[in-house]
Amino acid sequence: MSPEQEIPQPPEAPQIERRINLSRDQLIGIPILVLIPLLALFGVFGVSESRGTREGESVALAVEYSSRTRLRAAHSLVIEVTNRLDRPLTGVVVEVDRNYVEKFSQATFTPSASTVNETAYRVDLDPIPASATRVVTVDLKPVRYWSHSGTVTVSATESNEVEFEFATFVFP
Amino acid sequence: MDTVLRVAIVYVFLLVALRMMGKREFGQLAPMELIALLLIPEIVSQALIGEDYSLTNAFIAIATLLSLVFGNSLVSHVSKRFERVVEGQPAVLAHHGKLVPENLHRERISPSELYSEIRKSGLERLEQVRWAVLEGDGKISIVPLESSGVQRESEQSVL
Repeated sequence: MSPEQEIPQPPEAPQIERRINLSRDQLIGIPILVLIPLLALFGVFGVSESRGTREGESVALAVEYSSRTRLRAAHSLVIEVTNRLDRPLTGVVVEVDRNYVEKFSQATFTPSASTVNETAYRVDLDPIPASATRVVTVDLKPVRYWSHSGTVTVSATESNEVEFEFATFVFP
Repeated sequence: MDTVLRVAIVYVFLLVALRMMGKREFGQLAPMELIALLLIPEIVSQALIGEDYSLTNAFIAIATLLSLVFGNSLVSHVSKRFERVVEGQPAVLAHHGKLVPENLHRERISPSELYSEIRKSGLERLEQVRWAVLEGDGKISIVPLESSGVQRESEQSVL
C-alpha cells in the first residue's frame, strides 16, 4: 500500500454527468474565435507571394510580388526583364508606379532608380544580351494597410511597352 | 501560422512548468518566485510574436491563446482524468489533529505556515482541525472539528 493510499481523504464532491452546455452567445462567439487561429494555420492572414508574367514582341516581363502581407513586414518586388530577341535589347527602362511605392517606407531599388517623375520610379538598364534576363529588385516595408495597386512597365528601343498591373493587400 | 504554433507551444510549456512548480506557487509567491513569474512574460513575449508587431498578428495570438484556454476548460469539464492532470489534486496537509508530513514535504509547506493558516481561520491548535487541505488553486482550506467551536468551514486566501 502506497503512502498516498494511507492518508485519509476529505469527502469527495458528488459526481454529475459531465456535459457541455454553452450559451447562445458562446455558440456563436467561440467558433469565430477558434476560426481565427485555424485560418491563420492555413496561411489566410499570412504573407502570400504571387508571380505574374507579360510578354511583348521582344521583351518578357515577370513580376514577383506580395499579394498579401502585413504592416511593417519587409518584402521585395522582383522584376525580371528578358530579351526575347536574338540581338541585344537597348534602351531598356523599367518603371514602377510611384503611387504604389509611396505606400511603403524604405523602398530600395537595386539597381538604383535613376529618376523619379510624377508617376513613376524609373530604372535604366544596360543593354540586355540576346535571351538574357535582368532583374530589378525593390525592397519594401508597408506603412499603410489595406489594398495598394501598382503597375510595372518595361519599355525598350526595339520594343513596345509591356505593362503588368498588380495589387498588394496589407493587413493592419 | 507561425504565431499559432508559437502561442500553442508556449502555452503548453507554461502550463506544464507551472503545474510542476506545485500548487503552492499559485496561492502564495515567495520573492524569488514572484521575480520568476514577472520575468517569464518578458522572456516569452519576443518568442510569441517574433518580429511581427502588426495588429493582425496580435489578434491571431490572442485568439489562439483564448481558444487554448477555452479548449482546456472544455476538456477539463468533460474528462475527470484531464482535470486532475491539468488542475492537480487537493493535498491533505492535516487531518483530525495530525499533520501529514509526506504532503507537507511534497508541497514544501512548513508546519509554521500551516499553523499560520489555522490561526487565520480562527483556530489555535492543530487538534481543532478536522481537515487542512491544499487546494488546486494554492489556497489552504481549513475545516474545523465540530467540537472546536468554529461553526463553518473557512477557506483562507493566502494572497
